[in-house]
Amino acid sequence: MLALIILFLTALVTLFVGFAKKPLLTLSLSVLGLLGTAAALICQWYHPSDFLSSYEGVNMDGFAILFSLVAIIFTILIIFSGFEQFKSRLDHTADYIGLLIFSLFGAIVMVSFQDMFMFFLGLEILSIPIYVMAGARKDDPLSSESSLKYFITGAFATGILLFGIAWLYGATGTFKIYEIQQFFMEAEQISSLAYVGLLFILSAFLFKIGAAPFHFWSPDVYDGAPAPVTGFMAAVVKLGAFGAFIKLFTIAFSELYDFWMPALTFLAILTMFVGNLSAIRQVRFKRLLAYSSIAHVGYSLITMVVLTNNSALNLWYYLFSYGFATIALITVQMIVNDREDRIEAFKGLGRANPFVGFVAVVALLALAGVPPLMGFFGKFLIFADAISQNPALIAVALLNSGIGIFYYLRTVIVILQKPGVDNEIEQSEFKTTPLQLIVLGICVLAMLFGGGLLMVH
Amino acid sequence: MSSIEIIALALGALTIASALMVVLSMHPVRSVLYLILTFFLISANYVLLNAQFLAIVNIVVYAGAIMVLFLFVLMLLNLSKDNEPRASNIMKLAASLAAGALVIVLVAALKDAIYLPVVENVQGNSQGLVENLGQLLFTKYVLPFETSSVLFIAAMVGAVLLSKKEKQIID
Repeated sequence: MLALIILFLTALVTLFVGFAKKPLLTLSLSVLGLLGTAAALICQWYHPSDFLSSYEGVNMDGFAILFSLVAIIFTILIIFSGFEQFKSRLDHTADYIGLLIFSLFGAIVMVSFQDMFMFFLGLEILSIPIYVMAGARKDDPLSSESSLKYFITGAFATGILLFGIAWLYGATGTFKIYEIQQFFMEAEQISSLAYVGLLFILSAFLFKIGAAPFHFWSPDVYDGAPAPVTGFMAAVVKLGAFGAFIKLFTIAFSELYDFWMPALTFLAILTMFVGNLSAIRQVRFKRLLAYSSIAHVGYSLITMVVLTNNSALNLWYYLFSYGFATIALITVQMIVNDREDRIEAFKGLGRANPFVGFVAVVALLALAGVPPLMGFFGKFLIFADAISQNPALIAVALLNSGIGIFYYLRTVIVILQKPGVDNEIEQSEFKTTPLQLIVLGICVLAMLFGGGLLMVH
Repeated sequence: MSSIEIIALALGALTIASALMVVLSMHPVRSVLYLILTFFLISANYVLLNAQFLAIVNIVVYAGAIMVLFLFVLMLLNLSKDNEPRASNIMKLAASLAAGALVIVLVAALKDAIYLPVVENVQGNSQGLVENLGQLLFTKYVLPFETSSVLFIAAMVGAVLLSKKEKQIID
């Protein structure tokens, strides 16, 4: 609770400090606030306390703290790597950073909610700043298009979600997730209203995480949005949405597992195939990332299909590893800074700037799931947990990983190639800033040694 | 059938009919006018459910503010049949299939639905008045209430950010 207050104050202070037009001051204050929030969360971990005991809408339990801490780390990394872009619009630097922090606030509410009010508010606080941020490059029609597309489809999904919550309320008469669980346990016969409500809520979630067949917005939006925002959507928004997803479905709908499990199994398989097969044909880097993120959503859904005691932790670890790799790649994309965002523009990156090239290769291999990188352990945990219950699903997932390796390795080859003399693409300079180098350093360390986290848990 | 039930049935039928007219009428301005009617009818339903404050807010916010915006946008857009995007036949077929399936599911669910027993409210007719609502909002539900202010600030900052004129665009 204290963490939420600190975070909100940080966002406000960031907005007001923006008037001074000193980007570095804004940056340091906001990062300081984010670190303060993280510290408050860690305090909460060791000394759990209720700030507001009369209302049980928010509960900062271990699950919420773990997800929130990762979201905070990702937000700091994205603010660092996007700082160069934010700084170029001096009037708006603070607005950009402030909106990202507001969105992070929503993500934290979404992983710590206990009833539908807070859940809905969290979802909206998470989404609305991102609708705006996707259109932050106002002189670029693609950016405006992506913002509008995301807003309209997102608002529609929100409507569906609210409709579903209303049906669920009609069936159970309560908004609190533990009371809903209780109701389903004790009810002799579950009203058909609940099933319809569940389906509506499920489709809204599938939209938010970008699973097939609700994924059509994501390539366009990822492509058009400014690079830092794309990274934020892939890392933090997905983390928040998945956190709420697994929380709602393992607590409130745990009794209806037999009803939603087959649907989710089918959707997970569909999502993996759609993501991987479409990614093969991409020539633009951010679109490639978008489709690869769809494929990774498919792998993550396996944790929900096969529920065990470790599901939430596996999902957390998977999203953790995925976020680092994506943020590293987005940062590399900003360094390459090709106007048309072609994968071809990465040619010669490995020779022109060995460190950046190395990080890009490591991140791509981590996404592909090559040991001993963090991405491998993420996949391994999920697959190992699920294989005894649903071997067929894991076979499909392994097949998909194989397809994935093809397009990741193809991009790796492009990076390692000699800068050709004969091609028409003029070589960009690959300018880096110290902050971006820090981000890349943190990401590559995490990806190389993140497997060590497994020893702890 | 008691008089309340008759009123509820009539209101419900009217609401659905006017909502259908929003979608079915060809002229956009007429659609918007039907939409206003729908909002008023929904407010009447709220009154029937003892939610007087919600009814007033619904009229003020939706029929008042949002509909005016709708009408403005319509008049600025200068809509006519010629510049309306045409949907292909496959799209139309797919849309009607999807919507039809949804309707079947909803109707089937409503047919077999088990409804919770109606709880008599303690406060009688005054339950939905501002006083009771305010009591709840500032005591039990103070956290969601305050959190929604975070949402509004974020939305406001976003709106200003998007609508502010950039120097590059002007010249």
